[in-house]
Amino acid sequence: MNRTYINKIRSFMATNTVVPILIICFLGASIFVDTFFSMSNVLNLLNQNAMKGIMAIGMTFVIINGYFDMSIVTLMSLTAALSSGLQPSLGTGLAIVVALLVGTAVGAINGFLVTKARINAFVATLAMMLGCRGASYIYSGEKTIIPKSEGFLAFGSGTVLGVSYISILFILLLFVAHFVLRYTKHGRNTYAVGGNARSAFNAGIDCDKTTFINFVICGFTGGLGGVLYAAFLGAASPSVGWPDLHMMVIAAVVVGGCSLLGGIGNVWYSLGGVIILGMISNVLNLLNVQAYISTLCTGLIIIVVLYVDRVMHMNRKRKKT
Amino acid sequence: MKKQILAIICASVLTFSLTACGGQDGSSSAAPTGASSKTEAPSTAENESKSDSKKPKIGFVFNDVSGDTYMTTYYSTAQSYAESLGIELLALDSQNDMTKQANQVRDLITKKVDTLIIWPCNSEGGVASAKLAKEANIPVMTANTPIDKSGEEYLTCHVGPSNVREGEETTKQMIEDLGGKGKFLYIDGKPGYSTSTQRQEGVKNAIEGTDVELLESQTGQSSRDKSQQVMENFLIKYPEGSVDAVMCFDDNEAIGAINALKAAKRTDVKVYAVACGDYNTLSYIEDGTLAGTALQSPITDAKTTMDFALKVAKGEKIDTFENSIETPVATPSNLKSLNVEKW
Amino acid sequence: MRAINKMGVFLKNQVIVLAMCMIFILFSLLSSSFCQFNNAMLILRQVATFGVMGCGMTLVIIGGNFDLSVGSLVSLCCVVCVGLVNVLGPLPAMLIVLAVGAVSGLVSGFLVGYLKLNSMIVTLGMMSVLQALTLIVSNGKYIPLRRVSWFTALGQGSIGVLPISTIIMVVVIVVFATALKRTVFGHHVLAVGSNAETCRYSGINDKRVILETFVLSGISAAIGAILLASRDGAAQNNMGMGFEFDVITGVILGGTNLMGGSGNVYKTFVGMLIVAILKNGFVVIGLPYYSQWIAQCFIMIVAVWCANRAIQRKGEIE
Repeated sequence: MNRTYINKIRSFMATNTVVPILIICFLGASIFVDTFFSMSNVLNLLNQNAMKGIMAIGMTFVIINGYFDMSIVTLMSLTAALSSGLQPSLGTGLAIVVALLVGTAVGAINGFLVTKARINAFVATLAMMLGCRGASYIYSGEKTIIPKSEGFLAFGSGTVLGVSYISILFILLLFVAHFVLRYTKHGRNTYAVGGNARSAFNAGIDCDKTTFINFVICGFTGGLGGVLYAAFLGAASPSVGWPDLHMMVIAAVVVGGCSLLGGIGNVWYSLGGVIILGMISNVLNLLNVQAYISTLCTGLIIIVVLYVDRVMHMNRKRKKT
Repeated sequence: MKKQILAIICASVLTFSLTACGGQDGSSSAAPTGASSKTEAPSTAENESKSDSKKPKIGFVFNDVSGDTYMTTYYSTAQSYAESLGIELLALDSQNDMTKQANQVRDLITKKVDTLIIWPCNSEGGVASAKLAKEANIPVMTANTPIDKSGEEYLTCHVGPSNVREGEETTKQMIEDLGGKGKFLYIDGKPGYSTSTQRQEGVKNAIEGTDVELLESQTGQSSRDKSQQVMENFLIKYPEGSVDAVMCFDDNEAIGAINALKAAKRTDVKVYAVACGDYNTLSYIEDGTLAGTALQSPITDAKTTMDFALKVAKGEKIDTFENSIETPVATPSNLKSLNVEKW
Repeated sequence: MRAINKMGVFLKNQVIVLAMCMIFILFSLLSSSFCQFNNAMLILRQVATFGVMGCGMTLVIIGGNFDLSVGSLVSLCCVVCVGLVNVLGPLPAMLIVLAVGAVSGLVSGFLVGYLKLNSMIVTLGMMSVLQALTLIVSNGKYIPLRRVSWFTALGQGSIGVLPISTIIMVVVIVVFATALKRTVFGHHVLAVGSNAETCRYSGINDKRVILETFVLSGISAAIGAILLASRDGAAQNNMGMGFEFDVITGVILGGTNLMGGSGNVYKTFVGMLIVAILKNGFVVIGLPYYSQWIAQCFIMIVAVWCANRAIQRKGEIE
């Protein structure tokens, strides 16, 4: 009886590597950092990472599909600028809608370039990354734009019982994304295409359509991330998130255990990855580690986590090939 | 399976040792920064309760410690000076990223610091952070770079150089050198950074109503290398005789411009920097390649800021909101008479 | 008929060269000061570092990986280089810098090749590590070059009309191109990039090949850093920030297959030239620097799309 439990837990840990890693990090942090384990800090951790998490959800779709999206963060800075800058002329609601539409449109362009023009996803999204970056600089004229709407700012900084509105939105989106991936035809197609595009195609799945939709989803979350960042920071600068936030979003999803080869992963992994990376910087900040050392630790920890994940995934990958 | 368990053990050992060594490294931050020795890392609860009952705890989010020599010197001075004042300084580096800074402010609020100093990456982005800290009943002040006017209600005070004045005074010096008539180029600092906008504002104020004309302005990203490239391209565009001077955002950019001029063997363009934060740059003023700049000492800046922070943490009243430090304009002719203290 | 077809394929293969010529002509028409001998030399000088770095990156990408750490590596190498030139003199300093580049490449290569970690994320981690090392070594300060020696000539001097840095770049490019085309190592890289599994069965040590590509990438970044340090006569700790994207953009424009298996060092150089011309050209014609990103975006998509078409077409003919 006991043994089967242990075995079950063991196999759960082995397939969901993010869980043991998360537990280890959490315990380590709680023991060594006195202010870490408190309700306010745990909520703080969630609130800090909600926007990154929302973008990681979109990225998860694309990564399970076997691609990744480099353009998401410059897209975010573009929509942040649009949603703030259009408020006086269009009104807050419409400005947000335009920003989300732009996000979706960029996602659609990415999807088109990858599926119809057959351009390598890295190239296509890198090109769009440059394009969005240029567009956000041109739109904002290199200046920081301040959103004028009170309600917009109140949404960005508001909380319910310590949980920010943005975090609540993040959690809702996690469940929606989980539902889509798990229980809809599109979700199943995504896993099939990511796992093996050829056999998915032979099984009659419209690979191009699936990929296209996933890029659109990713673009949408990028657009949403931008709107939320503008509300959260109370300002939209064209350089927000540059140079490494998009890599951090991808890293979070991969550290969580989604395979960059596609076919493996779910949004909970990505949540775990986002929290792990968020925790690293939170802990280093709380410890008052010297700035240089904290950069060094971030790099080392990313590599170590990746290695541990790799070793623990060994069995599964063997099965897959 | 064995390998997996091994991996878990290996990971846990590494994580633990990293967090632990992180703490120690924080405490011995002396190694790289030299002068600033032991900032006590509160790695254990008892350590904290012992030392913290008396020491004021001040949180400082820096814009970008590694950005240039000015900020690095500022950072190490702030640390060592805080030590001598008996302040527990929690210094974090935002690496020029607004989102990181917003998160770090939240982390410091969690830490319940007595005073929060913000060196904003972005003047508009700093407003929300200042507001948040104010709402958590933590007095906030800005250092070196002010935040947007809309956020001033959340602040106790601001300490730093007056960027507009620096821009005006250096430009006046340039106008005087040019004999009141001429054309010049401007190499700007990081876009969206309020120090850049304010210095440019000062430059524009000073040329208003004179016969000195600003031909073109491009950003050099506050970097020597980028500024050199911009200047190289400018020199192609503006051949000999069509431009008299170039004004740069800071001394790093000015040296980049000087390098470009040397490489192109051009001597017809005078180089000015709005402000100079690196002591080594004085040698360029001595040999006349840098025609004028406002001297801004990071040490004075950092020490003044920490003095004010201590007052704020003790609850003393600050009379003036704007507290500017002295930034005299140096030229090759007056450098000796200024008697600049080494920093 | 066949000849015309072949001609068409040839032109489409060289689409990137044509694109470069078109961009050059366009800028010349827009600004009279662009098409000058001095400006051409300036562009060549500015492209030197990227041209050298592109060689190593091409090999890494042909091997099926990415190296995002090269930008930070350039910063580290610059700081180490200038610091050591001040103390030890140019030659030992340069040798040590090359060793630093090689060691950094060795670490990423080991993690990617032998431990089979994802190259993008590993080199992202390495990026932070190298940044931190740079800060620790430099203590965050500018390091000016104190000794006047032949070292500065590398980046600033010229032989006749040609800048020395350009000559060094050309030599490096030729060496890398020859290594890729004419040596066993080059064939192994191409083979590993197209199918690592098959290589393993045919007795190629794919782990080692990947490790070697990373080491070469590290060394090429070190050479690039030496040129940059010599040109600037000083080192700053964020000197190479963001270089990796410019380099990767250049490699992509050069038509290297990002899935690995094919690529050409000379074309990478053309790609780098395009990036450099855009950077220079937009400033010369007086548009803000960020316009170049939009241009890069379009050129990248069009170039890769054309190259794809050319490959399809070639397949049909054969």
